[in-house]
Amino acid sequence: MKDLKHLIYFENLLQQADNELVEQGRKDGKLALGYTCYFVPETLLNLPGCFSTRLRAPNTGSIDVGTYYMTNKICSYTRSILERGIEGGYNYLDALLSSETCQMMHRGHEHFELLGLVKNNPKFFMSMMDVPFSDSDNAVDHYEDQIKTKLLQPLHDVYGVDISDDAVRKAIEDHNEISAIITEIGDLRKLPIPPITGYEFHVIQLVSEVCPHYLVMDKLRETLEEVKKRAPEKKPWFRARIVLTGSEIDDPGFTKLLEDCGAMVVADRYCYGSLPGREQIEIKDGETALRAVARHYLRTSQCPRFMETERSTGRREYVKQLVNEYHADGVIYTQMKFCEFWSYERVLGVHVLYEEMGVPTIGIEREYTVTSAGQLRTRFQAFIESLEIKNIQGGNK
Amino acid sequence: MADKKIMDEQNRFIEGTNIEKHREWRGLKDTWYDYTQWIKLLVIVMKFVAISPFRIARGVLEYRWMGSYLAAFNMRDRCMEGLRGPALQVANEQLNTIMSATTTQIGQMMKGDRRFGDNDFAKKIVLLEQTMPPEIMAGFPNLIPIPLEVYQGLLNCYMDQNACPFYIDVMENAGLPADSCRLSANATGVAINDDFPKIGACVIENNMPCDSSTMNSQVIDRRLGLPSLPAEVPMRWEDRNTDKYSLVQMKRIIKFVEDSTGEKFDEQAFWDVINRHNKEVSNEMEKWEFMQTPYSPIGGTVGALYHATYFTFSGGRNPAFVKTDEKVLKIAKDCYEQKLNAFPKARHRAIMWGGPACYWPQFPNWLYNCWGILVVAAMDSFSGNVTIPTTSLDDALVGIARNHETGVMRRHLTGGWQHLVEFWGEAEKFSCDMVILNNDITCKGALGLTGVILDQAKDKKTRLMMVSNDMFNHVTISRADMRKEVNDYMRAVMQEEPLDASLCDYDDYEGW
Amino acid sequence: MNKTVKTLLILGVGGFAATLVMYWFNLDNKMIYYGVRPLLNKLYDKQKRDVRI
Repeated sequence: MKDLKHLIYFENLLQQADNELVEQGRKDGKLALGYTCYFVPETLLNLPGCFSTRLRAPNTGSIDVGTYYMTNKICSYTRSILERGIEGGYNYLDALLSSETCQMMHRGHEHFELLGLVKNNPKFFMSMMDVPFSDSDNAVDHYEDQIKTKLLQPLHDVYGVDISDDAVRKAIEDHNEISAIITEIGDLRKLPIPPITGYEFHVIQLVSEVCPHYLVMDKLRETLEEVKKRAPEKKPWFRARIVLTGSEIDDPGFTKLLEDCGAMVVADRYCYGSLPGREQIEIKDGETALRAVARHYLRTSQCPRFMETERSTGRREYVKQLVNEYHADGVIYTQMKFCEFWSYERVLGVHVLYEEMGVPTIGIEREYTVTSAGQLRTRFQAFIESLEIKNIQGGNK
Repeated sequence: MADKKIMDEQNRFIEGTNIEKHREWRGLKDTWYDYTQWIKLLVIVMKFVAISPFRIARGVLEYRWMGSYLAAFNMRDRCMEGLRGPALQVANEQLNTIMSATTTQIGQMMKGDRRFGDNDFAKKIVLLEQTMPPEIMAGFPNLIPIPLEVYQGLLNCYMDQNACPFYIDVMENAGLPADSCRLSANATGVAINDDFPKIGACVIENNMPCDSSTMNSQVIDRRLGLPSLPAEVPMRWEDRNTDKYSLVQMKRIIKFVEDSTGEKFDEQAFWDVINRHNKEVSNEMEKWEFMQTPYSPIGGTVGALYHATYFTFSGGRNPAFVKTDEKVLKIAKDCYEQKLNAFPKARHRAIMWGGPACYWPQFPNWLYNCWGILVVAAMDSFSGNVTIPTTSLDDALVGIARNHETGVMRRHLTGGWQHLVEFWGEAEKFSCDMVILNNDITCKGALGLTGVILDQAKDKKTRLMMVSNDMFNHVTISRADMRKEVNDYMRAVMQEEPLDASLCDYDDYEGW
Repeated sequence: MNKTVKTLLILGVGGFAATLVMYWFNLDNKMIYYGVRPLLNKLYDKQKRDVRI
C-alpha cells in the first residue's frame, strides 16, 4: 500500500512525551494535563484552555532509579514513567490527574508529589480520585462527585479553568469530533483486506491521546480521507486477524512485531487502545454534561477491576463480540509483567474464550519495552501458524 | 521470673523439623501453668469435635487444608517459646480465645457443608470474603458470618508452612504468574481445586485489601455457585466525600443479605454487637497504654494475631474477646503496678510492619529468644480500631465501612502513601528503637514505596531492618533465609552477638 | 474407701500422669506429625478433585 502522508510525522511525535505539538500547546498558553488511566476522563482534560496528554515513556533505556524507588517487582510501565519523571521528562506538566485504580501506578504518581518531580511549575499539583468498582447509578453518583472534587475543582481553584456545564459540553464536542475520526479509521479494519495496518492505526490512536487535539485534528482528518481512498493490497499481507486485548500497550513497536509475524491487529482492546475510548458521548435529556461524562466512562470501561459477575463475564463477551465484528481468527491477551489485574484477567480470558467460547486464544506476559522480542516472536509465529492451519482446514468458518 | 540461662534451645527440636523432643522447661510454676493451658486447649479441641464429630472427621479426610489444623498444638507451643510469667499468661489467654473462636467456626463450616449432605444449618451461614470484618452482619443474630479463605489460607498457613504451596501451585498451573500476591493466589487455588466447603446462603465479596483480591473474587465466584455481591468500599478512605457512597454500599449489603436469606435486619441486635465492638476497640486502646511502657506483658507473636482475629472473626459478636481483654488488662495492670519486666531478655524494642511471613507467625518469638528483640506491636494491630458511632444507624453504617476501609492490610496499603510509613510515628509512640519491615516480595502496594522508605531511614534514629518473605510460600524464601537476613543485620549493623547461638541457624524446612 | 471414689481417683491420677507424660514428651505432636499426617498426605495426594477454573 502507498505510505500514509503523515505517518512519519506521527511516528516522530511519539518519540518523546514532550513532543513539538505539546510544546506548541504550552506556548499557546494552554495547560498540559497529564494522566495515565482511562478512569481519568480524557474529555475533561480538554476543557477550554487545557489539553490532555496521556503519559508515555518512549525510548526508555535503563530504569535503575525507578527500580530503586519501586523495586523490580513493580510493572516496568510504572517504573519507566517514574524514571522519566525523575529525569525531568514531565517538567512540562501543569497537573497530573490520577486515580487510585491500580496499586502500582497510583504509587508511581505519588512519587510525583513525594519527590517533587515537576520543578518548572510551582503551581503543579497531583490529584487522586476514588473510583467505584461497579457502574450502578450510585456508583456513577460517587464517580461524578469525585471528578468534581478531585479533578474539576482543583483545576478551577489553581488555574481558574472554566468547569461550567457549557465548558464541559464543549469538551464533549471536542471528544466526539476526534473520536468520530478515529472510529471511522478504525472501522476500516473490519474489511476483508483493510486499507490500514494495525500498526498504523496504533500510531494514529496514540497521537490522538498524547497530542493537543486542536493541533492534530486536521492531520487526522486528512489521514481519514487518505485511508478511505487508499488502495488496499490485492491479497491480504497477513495470515491471521487478531484481536489484541490486555493491559497497557503504548508502544506501536509491539504491534509492529506482532504484524511482522504475519498477523493483522484488527481490534485494539487494551489500555491506550480505542476500544473503548473513542465512542461518542451522548448527553441524555435532563442530564448535565458532567453526568454524561461520568456515566460514559464508567459504563464503557473494560477494566478488570469491575468485580460484579455481570461485568466480569461481560468483558469476555465483549472480546467475543469484537472477534465477530472484526472477523478475527484469534485473540491475544497481553499482560504487563507484574500486573495483578491483568494476570488474573488473562487467566480467565484465555480459559473462557478458548475453552467455553471456542475462540483460539493465547496469553502472553510482556515488559514495557519490547526487550525479549525473540521469545515473543516465536510465540506469535506459532500462534499465527496454528490459526492459519485452522483456517486452511476450514475449522474457523 | 525469666530464665536468662536458657541456652541451646534449638537442641530441644528434632533436626529438620520444628517438633520438640520435649516441651520447654520454664521453671516449676510456669511449666505447671503451661501444662494446664495445654489441657485447656485439649478441652477446646474436644468441644470443637463435639460440634459435629462425624462431619468434622469427614472434613479432615476430604480437605487438605483441614489436615493442617492438626498442627494446632504445635502452633501454640511455638507462640509460647521463651515466654515466662505474665507474658506467658497473656499469650495463653489470648491464644486460647483465638483457638476457641476459630475452632467453633471451623466446626460450623463442617456442620453446614453440603458436600456431606444438605441441611438447614448451611443456609444460616453468610460467607465474607478475605479479611472483611463481620460488623455488617451485626443486625442478623440468626445468621453466622464466616470468613471465606481465611481458614483455607491465613490461619492454615499459621499452623503449617506446608499448607499453602500446594494451592499456590494449582493456581500457577492455571496460568497465574508467580509474582502475584500469595494470599489471593492461594485462595484461587483452593477454589480451582474445589476445596472450599459447600456452605452458605450467599457470599459478600470485597476489594480488600488490594488489586489481586479484587480479581481473585471473580475467579472464586465461578466455583462457589452462590448469590454474591461485591462490597465496594472506597480506596481513598481519608476522603470524607466518600462517606455517602460507603453508606450506600452498606445498605446494599444489608438488603442483599435480607433477600438471600429471608432474615430481617434487627436493629436492637445490631446495637448490642456494635457496643461490644466498641468495647473491643477501647480495650485495645487501653492495652496500648501499657504496651508503651517497659512493664507490659503484651508482646511477641500473639498480640497482633489476637487483634487480627477479633477484627476478622468477632467484630463484637463473640463476647469471649471482651472477657479475655478484661483478664489481660488485669495482668497488665498488676505488672505495671509492680514494675515487673515481663520480657527481661529484651535488648531492643521493635515495631513490626508490612505483610508478615504467615508461614512463620512465631518470627517475633524467635527475634526475642535469639537476639533479644521484643516486638512490641505489629502492623495488624493498627488496623480497624474504629469506634463506630452510635448516634444513628446511618452514622453507624458509615463507621462500619470505615472499619472495613481501615482493615487488616488495607489501612496501610491504600488511601495514600502516608499510611504505609506510619511505623515511624508508631515506633516513637511505643518507645521502640527498631522497625522490622516485613518485605513481602509480592505485595505491590508496599513494594512501591521501598525507595522512599529507605530514603527516610537515612534521616531517622530508629533502625530499620528489612526482612524478605513470600507471605504464604516458604519454598521461595524459607524461615532459614529470613533468619540469615536478621543474623547478618544484627552482626554487621548492630555489632551484636545472639543471646542463644543455637537459634541462629538451623533446619526446620520439613516442619510445620 | 468407696469403690466409685477409688475408681475415680485411679482414673484421675492415671489421666493426670498420662497427660503429663504426653505433654512433657510432646507425644501429641509427635504422634500427629509422624503417624497421622503422612497417612493423610497419602490420602490427599490420591484424591481426584474437580479441578477447573
